[in-house]
Amino acid sequence: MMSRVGRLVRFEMAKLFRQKLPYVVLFPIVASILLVMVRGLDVQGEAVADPRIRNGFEYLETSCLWALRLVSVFAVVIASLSLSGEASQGTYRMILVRPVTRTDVFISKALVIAVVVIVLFIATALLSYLMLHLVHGFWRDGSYLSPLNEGRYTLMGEEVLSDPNRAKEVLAADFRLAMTLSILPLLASGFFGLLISSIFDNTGAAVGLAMFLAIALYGFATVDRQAGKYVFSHSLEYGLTVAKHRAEGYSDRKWEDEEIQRTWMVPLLSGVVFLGAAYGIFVKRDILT
Amino acid sequence: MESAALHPASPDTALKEVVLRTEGLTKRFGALTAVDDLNLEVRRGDIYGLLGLNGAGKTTTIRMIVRLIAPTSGRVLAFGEDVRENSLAVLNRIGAMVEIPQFYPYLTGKKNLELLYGLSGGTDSARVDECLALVGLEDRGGDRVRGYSQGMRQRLGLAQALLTKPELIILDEPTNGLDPQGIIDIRQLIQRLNRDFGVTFLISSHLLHEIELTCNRVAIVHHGKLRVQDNVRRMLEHAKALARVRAEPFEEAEKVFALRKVHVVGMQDRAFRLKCGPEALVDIAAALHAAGCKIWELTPGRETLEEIFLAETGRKRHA
Repeated sequence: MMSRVGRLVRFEMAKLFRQKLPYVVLFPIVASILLVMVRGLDVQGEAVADPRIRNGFEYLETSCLWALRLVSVFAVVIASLSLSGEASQGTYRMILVRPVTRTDVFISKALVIAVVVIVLFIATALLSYLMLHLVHGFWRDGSYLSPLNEGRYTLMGEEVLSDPNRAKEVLAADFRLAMTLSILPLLASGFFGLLISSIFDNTGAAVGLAMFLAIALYGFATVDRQAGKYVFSHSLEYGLTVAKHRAEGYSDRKWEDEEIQRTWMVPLLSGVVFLGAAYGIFVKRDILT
Repeated sequence: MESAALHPASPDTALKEVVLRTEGLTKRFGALTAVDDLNLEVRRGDIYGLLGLNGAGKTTTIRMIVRLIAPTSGRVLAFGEDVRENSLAVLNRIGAMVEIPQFYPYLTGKKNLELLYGLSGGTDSARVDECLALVGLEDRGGDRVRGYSQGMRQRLGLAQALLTKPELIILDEPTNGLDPQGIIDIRQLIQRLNRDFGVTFLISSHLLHEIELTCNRVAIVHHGKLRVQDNVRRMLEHAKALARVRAEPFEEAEKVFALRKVHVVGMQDRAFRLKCGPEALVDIAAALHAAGCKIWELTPGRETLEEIFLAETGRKRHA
């Protein structure tokens, strides 16, 4: 089975990277990182004479939050295309008449979605961190981020924003934790798209419904914050938002074990349910297209 | 000629010589029964034609054979093994093209074949080139499928079915969209693979002439039911005697046939098709002559495959 799945994964990868979609999607992700970071540079430039000196980690978290939101959208889109695309093109007739099982095909599709999401996630983290250094001169003496190194602080009115005790290393650890917490919600988004994809033969209907439901769930989570904690995609926000607040100097903002646990468990359970349901539908259905 | 009812499942001892068998294969979509208790038997070395009108259940049957859809009841045995229970071993020995073949349009024909061959564990790109050459696409293999005509896609579909050198090749309407030369090429290729390499073929079609020219055995399916399954040559040898008589005026000729109780099966190219043997034709000619009819043609003969098909599917041929 492993060799069949391996062959199918290579097959899926070869197809994916010969399409325009992945390259088109990379553009807004990279652009969002660059825009936030460059905007941060401008603010920092002005901030030399401004007491509200801002922290480069705030931009790091903001850029990652925007980029990962785009990655989650991309995960939903690419996943909702994966099964429905084969059905609508009629290419299942070429794949499933070969010595592979539907389970092999499903596992390979899910693996490819996971790999793509993880690669984009790592690329986002690395690019953001690199940009933090390049744009904000993080490694140089006298950089705009020197307040973190030198114990300077930021004022907003009378309020102290930057915590002089929160060192760069602490904020870097916050960033790593925030990013770690973001990976499962991203994967759950992909598997949500896979579930919708398993139902439809039409790619337009699959992508449309998947996006509509993803946005509706996100909107619901934003409106009803208490219930929204149990929406898989909402968990994406928690880690980076906390890390951003801490980078901004909100000294009362702490990591909460209960929230961290929920941020793991909600997308994990959702992802398992989505995968199970998608698999059940896919292996049972007749291929009529 | 074996009728469906007279064609019970063979005992297991006969399984070895049967490459593909369907047993009581049935598929229902809601209230519609697309395939109804179908018992087909394809033997090694056959070029087996599955004939039927559009909607007769041919493609549904093929989809069940290659397990794209699940039967409501019944089973498919290939090489003696249940396709659903042992699909990997069985599909390793089968090549199939179901309906109009679809490929990834952004890839070249050759890349499509390489990827599909890879799924079957194949790595030899020379085999891909060989298959492209077999179907006459050696010069266009480097072009993206997006630019292929339907006939070229059909050829590429046939090429992908050949990739693994299968023992059984299942082709659903293989000549759809091909020009006359393409049809001849595909027919010759099928016959060559069958003759030289012993490849067994199951071909579904509604093109009677093609089936008659290509296949040695044939099944006629109507409304999902098997009507006839037999050797083509034997089917034609045992076909009912049908004479062709062209006589004028028509009205007088019809009166003569009615008086002599000769059954007129239909009209063909302004000629009557009469259910009678060559002996009776002598009397009919004399009667027509006596009634003042001019006789332009008087040919003894038998039912064609087309006439057998039309009779089995309850259709009549008209001039």
